[in-house]
Amino acid sequence: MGMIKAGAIAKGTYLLEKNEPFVVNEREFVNPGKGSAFVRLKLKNLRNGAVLKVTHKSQDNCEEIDVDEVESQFLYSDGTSYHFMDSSTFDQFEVPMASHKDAQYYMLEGETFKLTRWNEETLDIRLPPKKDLIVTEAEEAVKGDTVTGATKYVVTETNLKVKVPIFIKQGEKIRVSVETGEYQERIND
Amino acid sequence: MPFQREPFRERAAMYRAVRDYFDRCGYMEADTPFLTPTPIPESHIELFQTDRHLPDGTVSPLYLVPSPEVWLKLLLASGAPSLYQIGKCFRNGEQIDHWHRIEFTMLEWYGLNESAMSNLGIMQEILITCVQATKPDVAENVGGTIRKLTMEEAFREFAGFSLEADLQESGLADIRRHSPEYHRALDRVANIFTARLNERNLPAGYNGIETADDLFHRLFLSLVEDALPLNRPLALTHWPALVQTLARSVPGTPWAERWELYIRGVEVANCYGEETEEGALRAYWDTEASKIASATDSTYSDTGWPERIAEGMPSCSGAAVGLDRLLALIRGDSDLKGLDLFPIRDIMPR
Repeated sequence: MGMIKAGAIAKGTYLLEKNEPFVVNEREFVNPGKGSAFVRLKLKNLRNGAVLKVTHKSQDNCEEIDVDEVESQFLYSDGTSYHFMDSSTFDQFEVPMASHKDAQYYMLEGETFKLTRWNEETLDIRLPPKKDLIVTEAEEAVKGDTVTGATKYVVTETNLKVKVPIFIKQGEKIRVSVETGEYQERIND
Repeated sequence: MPFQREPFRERAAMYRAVRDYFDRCGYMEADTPFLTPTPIPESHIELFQTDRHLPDGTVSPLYLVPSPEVWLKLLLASGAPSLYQIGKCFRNGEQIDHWHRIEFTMLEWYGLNESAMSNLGIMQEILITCVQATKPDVAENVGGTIRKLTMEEAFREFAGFSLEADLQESGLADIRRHSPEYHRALDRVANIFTARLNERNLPAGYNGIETADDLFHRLFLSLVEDALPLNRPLALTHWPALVQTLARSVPGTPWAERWELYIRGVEVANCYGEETEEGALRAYWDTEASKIASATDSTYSDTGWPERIAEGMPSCSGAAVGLDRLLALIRGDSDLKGLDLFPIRDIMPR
């Protein structure tokens, strides 16, 4: 942990504001014609995802936090926590599911992810932008239903409910956008 | 980068139209030096400094002008008529980003017997002139009628409190600027502003050190500027006189005769009813010069500029427009890149 002048803060810097850890998503310099230089920051709270807009004078001291990027293997989830293992130290640790709820739909047991950690706390699980998942539950298409663009819901191996085109069958693999949770394409391995 | 014809054409058309406009209005075009040995002290602006090597081996500092004001006002004080200039200005220490360059083109004009508010009428005509010359079908939010909003109205609407009441409470309006009593009133304002920031959980700097000027800007930038309406060009008028500038005060009020023009939320122009009173000019110079001297551990040279200005400068209003920003906004760009003849990152590597 160290002090950083607000004017030196870049996008991607990790900060402690009001005792909460944030990452800087946007930084804009504002120089009033007749006044000191300022920076306007858009911060994302790493505990709850809330966005905070804050304006600092460039000379203000801000608290920068040193985070670690840790390669970790996802072992399993027990319903309240994800269990991970640090790939280099083999230390096991838990991450409360509540703080990264959506991650459960995109992580398969045994896969490795990059985690952003600070003071034993996991601030971020870096998920890939797209994830290929096997469909485990799908209704059969109704015979004769050939309306273009017709859709139905299926459930994937991670319990994610996805709206897909009518032709997707159980056991097939689909590509899903992690950001939106939407179907993108069928994958033919 | 393949050669782009449009930025050349649009810029030239805009300059021609601006020159035609001022010629029709009877203004004279000035072409003042880019180098000066004695810039007007502005503690918030970092200058580009160079050395002049004289034949006798001595060296004296020269500065690239951050605006042509230092020269144009001397011309006005010596009896010039209404003036304008289109020229390069230089500001060191600025980040090069979407809307900032360290070298940019400024249109600055001084209209004799104009007030800041009457000068807003000229600004509107120049805006129309520039739009007609470059992109006549531009939308209302760029080329429309300028909406006027006072700083007090903006604070009431977007910050939810009366700035005027805070300034009145401190007694600032009734005290002569730069007197010891005025500085005590500024301390009172600083306390009020700090409380405003604290109650909103906003950064307020170090209590007791932060100036009223900086605290005002913290409030303005955090609560007001970002919320200004974008549907039409907007002139934010009547700025607090506690922000140290060469704009004259509106007597009996805490306000200065000053406006800033925002287009699509970008600051494009700044205008003053110009201060011509000797005491006020001298106090401004001394205050700013001493701030720079203490920050740089040097002395700030004084050539008696305030007295020379006060002796002959007529009542007038001056305005400065960032032409690069204005043209980029008219073009519908979201930054200045489209106007760069050379990619800025190539000629100004980090």
